[in-house]
Amino acid sequence: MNQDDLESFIANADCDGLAEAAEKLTESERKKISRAAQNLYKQIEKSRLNVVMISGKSVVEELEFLKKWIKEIGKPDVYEQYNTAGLAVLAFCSFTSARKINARFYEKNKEDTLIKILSDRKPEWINEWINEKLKGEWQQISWETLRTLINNGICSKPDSDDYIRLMAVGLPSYNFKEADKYIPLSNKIKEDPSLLDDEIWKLFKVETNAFIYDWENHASLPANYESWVGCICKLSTEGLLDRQKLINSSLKGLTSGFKNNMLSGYIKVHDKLEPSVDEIHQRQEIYLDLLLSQSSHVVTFALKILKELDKNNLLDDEKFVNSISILFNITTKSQPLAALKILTKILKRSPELINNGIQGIITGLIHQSVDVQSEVISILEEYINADDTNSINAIIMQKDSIAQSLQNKIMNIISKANLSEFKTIMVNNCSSSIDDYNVNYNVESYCSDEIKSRISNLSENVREKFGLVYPVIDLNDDLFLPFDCNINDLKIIPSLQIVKPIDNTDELLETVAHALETVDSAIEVERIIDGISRLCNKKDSTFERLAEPVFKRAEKLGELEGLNRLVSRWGGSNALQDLLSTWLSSKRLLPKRKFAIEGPMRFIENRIYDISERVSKNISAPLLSFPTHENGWIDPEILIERIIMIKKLNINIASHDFIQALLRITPDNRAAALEKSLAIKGPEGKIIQYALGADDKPGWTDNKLSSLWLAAGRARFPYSTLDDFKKLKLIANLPDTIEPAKYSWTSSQKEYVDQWSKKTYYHPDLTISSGNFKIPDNVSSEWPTVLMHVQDKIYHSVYFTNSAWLNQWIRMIWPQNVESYYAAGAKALLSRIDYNASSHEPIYMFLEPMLEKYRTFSELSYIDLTLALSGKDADARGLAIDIMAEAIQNSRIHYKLFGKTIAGISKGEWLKLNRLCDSFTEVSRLSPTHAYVVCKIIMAWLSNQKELPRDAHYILSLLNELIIQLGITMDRITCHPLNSIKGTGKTAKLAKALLTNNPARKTNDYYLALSDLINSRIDLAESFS
Amino acid sequence: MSTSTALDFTYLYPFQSAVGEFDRGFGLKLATCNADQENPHFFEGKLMQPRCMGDMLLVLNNVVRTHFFLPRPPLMDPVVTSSESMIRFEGFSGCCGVYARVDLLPEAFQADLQNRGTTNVDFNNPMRAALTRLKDKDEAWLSVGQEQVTLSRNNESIVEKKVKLPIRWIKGFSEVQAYQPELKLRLEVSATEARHFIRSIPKGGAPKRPSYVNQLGKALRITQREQKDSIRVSGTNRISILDPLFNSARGLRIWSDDDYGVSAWEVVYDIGKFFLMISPEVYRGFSGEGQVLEKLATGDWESALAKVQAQLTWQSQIDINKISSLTGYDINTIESALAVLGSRGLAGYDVSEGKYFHRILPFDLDKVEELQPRLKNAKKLIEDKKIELLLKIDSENYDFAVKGTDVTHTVRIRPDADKCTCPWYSKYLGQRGPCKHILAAKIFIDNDNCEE
Repeated sequence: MNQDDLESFIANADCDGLAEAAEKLTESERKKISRAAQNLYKQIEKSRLNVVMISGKSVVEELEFLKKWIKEIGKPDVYEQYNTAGLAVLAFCSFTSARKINARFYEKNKEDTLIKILSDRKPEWINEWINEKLKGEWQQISWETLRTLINNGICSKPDSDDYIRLMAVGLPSYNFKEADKYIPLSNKIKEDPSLLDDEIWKLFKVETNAFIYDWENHASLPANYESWVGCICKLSTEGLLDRQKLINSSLKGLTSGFKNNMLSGYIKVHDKLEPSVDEIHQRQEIYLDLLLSQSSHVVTFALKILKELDKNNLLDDEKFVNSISILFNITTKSQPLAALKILTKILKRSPELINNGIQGIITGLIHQSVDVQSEVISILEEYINADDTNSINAIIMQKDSIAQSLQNKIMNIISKANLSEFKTIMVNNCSSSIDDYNVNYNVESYCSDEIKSRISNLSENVREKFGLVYPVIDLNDDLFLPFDCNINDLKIIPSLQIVKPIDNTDELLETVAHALETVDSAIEVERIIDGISRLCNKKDSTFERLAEPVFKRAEKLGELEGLNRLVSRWGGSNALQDLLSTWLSSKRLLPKRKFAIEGPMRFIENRIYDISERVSKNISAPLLSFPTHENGWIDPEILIERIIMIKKLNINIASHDFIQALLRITPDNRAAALEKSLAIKGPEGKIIQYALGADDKPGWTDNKLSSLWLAAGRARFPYSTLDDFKKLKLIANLPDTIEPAKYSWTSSQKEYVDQWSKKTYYHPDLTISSGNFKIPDNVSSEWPTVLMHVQDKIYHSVYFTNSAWLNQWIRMIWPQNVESYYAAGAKALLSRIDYNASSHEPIYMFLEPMLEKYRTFSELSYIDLTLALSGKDADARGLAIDIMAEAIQNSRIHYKLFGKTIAGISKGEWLKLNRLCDSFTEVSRLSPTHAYVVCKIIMAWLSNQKELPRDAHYILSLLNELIIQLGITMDRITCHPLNSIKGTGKTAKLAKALLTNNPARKTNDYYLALSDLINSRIDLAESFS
Repeated sequence: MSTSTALDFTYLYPFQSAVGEFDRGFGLKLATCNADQENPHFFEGKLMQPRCMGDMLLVLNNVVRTHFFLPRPPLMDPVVTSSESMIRFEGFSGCCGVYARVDLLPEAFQADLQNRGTTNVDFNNPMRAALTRLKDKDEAWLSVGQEQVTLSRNNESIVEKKVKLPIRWIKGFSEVQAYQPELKLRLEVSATEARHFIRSIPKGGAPKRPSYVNQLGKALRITQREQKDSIRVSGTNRISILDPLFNSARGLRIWSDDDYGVSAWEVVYDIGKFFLMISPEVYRGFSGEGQVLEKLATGDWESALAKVQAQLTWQSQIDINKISSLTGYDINTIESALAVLGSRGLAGYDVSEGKYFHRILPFDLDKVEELQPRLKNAKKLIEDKKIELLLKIDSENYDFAVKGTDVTHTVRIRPDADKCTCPWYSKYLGQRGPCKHILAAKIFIDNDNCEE
């Protein structure tokens, strides 16, 4: 065996020949050929990717020296050659090389060859090698290969958990298409019976996915298909596995702390074994212990079994009663409710356990579910003794946590006791005492002298405009609706943080080095670009030394994947990488690719390429588009100073930079800036002056600069038709060119048939249109307002990127108008509505514009807000709750529009009202004002609903609590959809409660909310003055 | 897990810890074992509030048995330290990002026997279940260990738990103490408010971004927005674990530091407290933090270390002034020495008292000593002569060139903040301790190599 033989075997993928040739070799003979084998493997691996991309056939095009060995042109393909090279490494090389070889082959003959090679060689490292191959999520050895090696005595049986994980996935047959060739799992185990003594039992000790999937009786599978669950039970029935040990093992598995789906698997095994009442009874202690589990699945299971024992009069009542308090730590309600049902029966038959029972359930008063609290109160009403001071004391301690709708009942229980004794406890521990119930609050109680004085200081006009005509304040609901302000009429600079430019080259290098590892915000990226633009020619003697590590790091990271880095193979910006390279090493990396990038990134990337072009000539200049304030805003007075400076430097103004600068100017200081801008001559002067409010309109001759004029027009009129622009050659029907985008939306469901299961699924669908148009692929990179409407139609990344900072950067393109950003956000939020938060697909940033106090909420923003509040993504949901909390505080929520939007989304019948209700509950708890606004949103939703969705009871339950908390009544329109509800279900009961609820008076909380809202309204009126 | 990242450790208990009827009456009997397989007997006494203690031990056990980052159930047991004035149970989560401690004051017991020492204690499922059924009206005893226990392999009641203790777990358990002296009390709320707050934390999938805790009136709120004085929390599910503690607690005190994003959650009871400390990120254990590296790399503590260690006699609060007067070292040196001892598992820190306490973690800590890779690498850089002084501005300002794999980094030592051009420094900006290049420069200076 020499190198030529080896090359021939590999070139022709002759693995059998290789194995034959290696069969009799000694270790020293193998060692002689090992280096050649290792080198060949490395070369083939290295060239494999290129070869696949070029021809997909053979490595000879890359590795010419192999060509001479090929017996049949075009055969074999690169994968076969690669596998054969891997087998050669296993046949000849040391463990260090062998550990890198994947031992998983998808062809049977390769597996056989692998076994032969290892069996002939019997390497001393075989056990260590197998342990290596078993590690990781994608194990690199097949179950059949490993078992053959074990059974043939070539290697020892691994004692790692990975071995059991391999069995769980590797032992079952997946040959579903050819049903006659399918071998049931139990047959396979019987063919390898030693598994029954050890490995099978380890499925209950090791976290695998064995019991997670149970597809028995599935139409697409062979009739004799067996899952692990079915197989285990079959083997038990056949007496091959001890039934009692299996039941015990399944129960032991439930205390393992594994993932929930794994625990559900153990429950499936237990239930499939169908333990008899006697078998359950013998294990009663274990089931009682399972009530302690941190998994609600397991507790549900234990309660189901204990209920069965109760039905058969075998329940250990005392132990059950003593265990009940722990169940109230579970956040869902079904488990505590099931336990309370059992408890009710126990207390009837065992009065001696009443005291223990009552002590056990008092913690249930603080459960999040009103239903649980209500059930606990019912038991207390029936069984509590007025002399049970300990229990009543404990109830008083929990009183503030009990739902409003249950406060009267709990007060009745407390009142049974001696009031004088408890008054002190009430005062110390509760926000309201019994005496509070007798106090009448009214408008006067909350209209302080200060409020009166502030109102009287307002001018009559303003008082009238804002409905603050004291002493008779008009208490109609509209008083609390936000004003519809035009963003261009506002002064926003005072509320914005100033962006500090980078001072010197040292700071710039440090900022770049940090952003290469992690980008903190899009503004940081703008600081870097501005820094390079201004400081690119300021390189002292230390620059090269300090820049070298940064440049090398940028080069390296540019080849790697990563979402939150300034440069990366995917998810970063190519243009930024080019800019860094140009500045740090004077090397341009990429040609200018105007149309290669889609969507708004086309504008951003081209803007940076323009800067790189200048930096490559070592020309420094201020960046027009560098934000002076957070969220991308530019003070127009500063912009004018920058333009004047560039003009003085005699540097051409880059069009992308100018367009970006125009779209970022704040509504503030425009008049002053216009005056200063008169010093700017030429077309740039005319354009900036128009943006700032000058009368001069574009004419026919301005067509060459139509992109700049468009940006100026949109900077001046973000939401209106640009009537002055009719003479410019612009594609009129594209959104946000001459006409502003006009949005319409519908909520529905999309039908989807799963090809495998043939089941029909319905996916939530929300179609948002910004007009009837088709944006051409070659739309100019200088039309960012149009590019903002270009979205990816296939992937979740609506703007062709999943980086949070890149999306934030996109929204800074046009801070005045973020409607297209909201529309993109709706798509992203909907696509992840049922998924937990993910670092790879962040969506929270689409909500961020709503945090800006000067911004009015549009219909699209209410859509995004609703989707986030009802989604599972905790980042988006948490931020949406913060937004609602803050917006209510500064009177920005238009509850009528919000309620109407929710009703529109509800039409699609996919909105998860339970999740929306949880979010609303959280907001309503913040203050009486928040409770009031949430109550009004729900009422607005109701009044826009013709009929109620099935899960409306979640929202109605909250509404009921809020109405009682505030003491308000519902009007006729709001009541309308409730009138038509029939039946005795949860929704019907709540509808009835709401319709019959007639509070005697408005509550303390109502007037607190009123006072708060009046104050906010006065704040607004004062700022308007 | 390869042997290089974990130690094989066997918990060998003479019996199974349990709650039930014993010779002495109803109570909780905890089995003990320490690193050299001894089974000490520390404590015997009557519990004054069994329910409350049961709650605290359960939550402690939940922390120890949870890996908050990956679904890998660890099998570690808590550690108990006993002295005349306090019993402390300590535990560390499997992911190395959550430290928990139960401090039981003298008010918690009527003690018959209270010896000094630290040991592991057996926690098992039946005992956990029984703990939930303890009631304050119960007359209950606690014993930690048992008199005259002889371990015999033939003894059927013997409990043997073989585990692989990840090195980073032992290291983190020790290093977590280094953060505590920097913690400041930020917020304090009643138990009712605390419960409302803990229950408002999102269930299911936790946020991937950091959350912030703010106080709004009397109430606490978790938000996604950083505000002035808000407390940063990553992995909010790690604090949800406190939920069962507020039934009989007096209140909640929240601590955090200014620089590292570490927070601590102290549930206060009449009989003691439950202390939970969480790392800055879910995926970052305390073991990787390296806050003591600089102390380990330089300073005068080395000469003081042995003398300070000799003064440790299982005190529940170490009096630094007293040790200072006994050893002749100044307070700063004593504090540095205690911080280093803490990082070696020989002292813990009690934030609310602002004092160290003595205990010896019952593991083979010699191995941990070797596990400061950054420090080791820094020393290697000096050995291999890869560090060169570029510029000495004065006795506090230096520039160094430190050779890396394919690039030379520049280290700038400055009184306000040291800087390096390496990716580690660039990413964390010093928040996770100094990089190996800065450490090497510090050692270089400390060794007087910069003197002209």
